[in-house]
Amino acid sequence: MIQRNEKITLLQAMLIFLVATHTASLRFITSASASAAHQAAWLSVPVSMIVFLPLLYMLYKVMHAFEGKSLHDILCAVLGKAIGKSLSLLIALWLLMLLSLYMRYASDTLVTTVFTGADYRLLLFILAGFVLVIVRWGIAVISRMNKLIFVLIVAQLALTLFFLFLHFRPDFVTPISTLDIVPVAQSAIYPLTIFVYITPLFVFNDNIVFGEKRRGKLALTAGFLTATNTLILLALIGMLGWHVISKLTVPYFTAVQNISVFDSSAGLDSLFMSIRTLADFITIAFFAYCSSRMIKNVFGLNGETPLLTPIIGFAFFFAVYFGNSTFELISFSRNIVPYLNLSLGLGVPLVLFAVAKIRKMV
Amino acid sequence: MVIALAVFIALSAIGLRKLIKEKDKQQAALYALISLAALALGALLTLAPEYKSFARIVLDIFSGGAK
Repeated sequence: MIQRNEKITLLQAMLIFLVATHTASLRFITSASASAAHQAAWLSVPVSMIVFLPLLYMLYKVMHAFEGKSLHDILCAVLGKAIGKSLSLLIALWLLMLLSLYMRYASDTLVTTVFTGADYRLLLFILAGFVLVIVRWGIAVISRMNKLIFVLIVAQLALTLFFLFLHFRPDFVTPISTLDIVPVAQSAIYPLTIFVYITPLFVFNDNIVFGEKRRGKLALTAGFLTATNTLILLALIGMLGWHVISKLTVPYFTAVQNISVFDSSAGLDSLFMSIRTLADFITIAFFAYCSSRMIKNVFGLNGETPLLTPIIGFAFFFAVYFGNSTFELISFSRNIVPYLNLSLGLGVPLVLFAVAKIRKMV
Repeated sequence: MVIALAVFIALSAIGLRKLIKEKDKQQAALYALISLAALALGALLTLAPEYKSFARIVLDIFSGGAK
């Protein structure tokens, strides 16, 4: 059997996290925050950092102290085998549900935007096939693909944001007053719902080499998340207004479609969709890899590769079963997913850090 | 859906056969369990297209069955 180098650097892991959360940020954070905080929604991301930065710090302290061990092993070492195994199983089920949800969102988005009228199940099937082939190669290959996709995303964001800001209307993002404090604080839950996907990243902590300048890489991640998401929210609300953004299923795509240069359509929407589909692919590959790794660790199996077929097969059927329409998915994402994500993505690291600190393990 | 089910059955059978050959009992058992769950779900979606979706069930539970 060929031995592969399955180690990735902390920066590569952070880039996977940034790309994996990219489409969810574009779709979910924009509309949900606009719906909750109206014209002040662009402040929700900086406010969410009040919680995200301590989470990042706690995760870093624990994961660095247990470098070379997976999240499952760390949970068992800190909380005991019974609680550790139970929590790991719960996280595996959560990741499996997120895998199905994002597979469904990816195919639904393609049907809504490009392949109008096509059967979403066909696109879902093709997507599942691609993921099944790529994830088998392991995290190092996903990471190498991801680096290229990250560069494309940054270039595309710079280009589309430049054109979006040409149509920017300051009166759409103002006024901001003390009356906005409570809505902004409430809307900060939505960016956090997505940002807590940093926790599943450490499911494969045993594959991550922390290396030098670790804090700088974490600061870069937090800074990139804040800057891009705030700019996206500012551009979207400043162009279309919060009323429209809060009601759209794919707000960024609609805004990009409306970009005009010399009084005619710039046609950037096709470029946007192709890169967005690549980002969707990384999101799904990330959750597929994390869920299979977690299941492998919980049941003490030899490898995660053989299990990929039944896991992705199950995720495919569950994605079809998930919702009868996009609106059901959106309703589920806004009303149920934040509680699930925050309890497992934020609550678990918090408990882990507190217990590890009490037991003087970090 | 029928084609997806057929492809999945074929892939699962190949994978399971390989695991049984390698005598990896634990992995084979888990493989069979997840495959069976997926097949049951696939069969439900094919045979009962008027099903109540997962999102609808969860939303109904959390809204107290109001909708």
